[in-house]
Amino acid sequence: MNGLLLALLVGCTGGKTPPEPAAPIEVDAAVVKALSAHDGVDCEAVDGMVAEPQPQLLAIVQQVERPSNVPMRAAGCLIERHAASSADAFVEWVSTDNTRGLALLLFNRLADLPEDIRTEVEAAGRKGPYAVDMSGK
Amino acid sequence: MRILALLVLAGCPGGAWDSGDTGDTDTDTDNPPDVVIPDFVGELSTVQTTVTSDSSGVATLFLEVPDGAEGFLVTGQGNGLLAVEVVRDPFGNEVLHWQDWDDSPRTLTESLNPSASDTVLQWPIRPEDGALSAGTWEVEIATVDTAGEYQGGQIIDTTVQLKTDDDLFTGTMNVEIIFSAGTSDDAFQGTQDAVERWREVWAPYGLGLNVQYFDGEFGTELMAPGDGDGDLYLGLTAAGTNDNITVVVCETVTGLEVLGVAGSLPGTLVSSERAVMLVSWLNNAGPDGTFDTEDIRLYGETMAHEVGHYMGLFHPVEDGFDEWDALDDTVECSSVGGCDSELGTNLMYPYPVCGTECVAQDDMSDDQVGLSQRYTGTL
Repeated sequence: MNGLLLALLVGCTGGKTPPEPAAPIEVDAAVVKALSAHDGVDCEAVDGMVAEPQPQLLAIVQQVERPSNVPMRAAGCLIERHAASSADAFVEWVSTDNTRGLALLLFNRLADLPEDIRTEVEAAGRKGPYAVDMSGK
Repeated sequence: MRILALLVLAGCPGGAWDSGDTGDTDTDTDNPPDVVIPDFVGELSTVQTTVTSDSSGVATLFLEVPDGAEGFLVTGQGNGLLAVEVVRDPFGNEVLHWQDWDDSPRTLTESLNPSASDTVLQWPIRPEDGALSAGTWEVEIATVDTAGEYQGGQIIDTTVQLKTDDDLFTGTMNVEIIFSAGTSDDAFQGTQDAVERWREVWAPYGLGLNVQYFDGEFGTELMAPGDGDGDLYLGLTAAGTNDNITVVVCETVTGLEVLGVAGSLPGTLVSSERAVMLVSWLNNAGPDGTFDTEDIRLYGETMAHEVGHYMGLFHPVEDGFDEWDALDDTVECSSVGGCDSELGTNLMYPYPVCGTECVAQDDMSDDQVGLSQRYTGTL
């Protein structure tokens, strides 16, 4: 009996199979449209378009390539309004290859970040591939 | 009382002036008016003068337009909020009156809105406005305070520019492109490549470019013209001539990840705090900070778009899809899908239209071209 129960539990939890990765957040087309405006859009207005703006903005940074200002504006809105919940992403931007644009944006906006996050980003930036860019700011 | 249509901007100091004859057109109802008489050098005449608002808060500029002139550009700079009130032709006809456009869903010119301490009027604006008649024109400029109350006794520094270009089907724009300090070689090259795309976009419409590049000594992050950094823009444009426009290339625009932004619609050819277009090379390059072919194309179209604003072109439809430009031949659509479909390839559409790639935005309507060719800076 105990053996059967154990076997059932193992079957239910999937044994050693790693957990499924979370499904990527679907990008909201209306938010992308708003962010793509040639002449800019207010971040507060963008926040009002979706229930959970931070994950939506992060998904846009990660998934949308064109036009180029869309992920950049989304990144700017994360810096401006959601810094506290985006620290991991900021560290990644200054630490990863192929994100120099995001890193430069962040370096220009370091003064806008809460002090603890700024310190964390600066520390990562000094060790990252864009350290020279950061030292020039 | 005029109701402020746009965000009230902080006051600015008087402008620094470029070369040009200086008249004295101190308008006073008790004295006969002086008339500004242009003195042409080549295709362009630049005359500076001052006018003073009367007790009703309106100053009148009298401008003598000679035979052969095709258009004029009036730039007023003062201490209050300035807006054009009325324009009268030599026959006394009111060809432009602010009230005709005040509540309209169509926008003809920003010069009618008292939103800044300068105002810029181009006339004629559209092909349908007709040819410029010779004779004495009157331009009334109002000064209001932030509550919209007219202010008397206000001095307005005014520059009038006329052009005699007799060909309204071909023209060349002189452009200075100034880079912020430390701009990388990649960003410089990307910008130069984008200018070639701009040239390609304009060429079918008889619009040419004469571009000069300069290195600036200012920081990588700048504020949008009208929002700040006015002294910088005043200085940059004071160093130029009176027949060109200025594009400033920076890394980022403070708090606004835009592709580009124009100082005013239309913009002036003389020095002012808003006499620039600002483009962000970084936002055009995107998250990887490098330019690929698609980035270059969009960057070039962005420069053509922003300079289009500076020449006086509005978006054919604004982003709420319930306001339009004042041109007859641009479609008046009213939904995202409909507008993307009907106007998505237009140079002045407010959004790039993109999937994995972006559609080319290089179409201009006949009226958009006609407006661009009439701009006084298109010579």
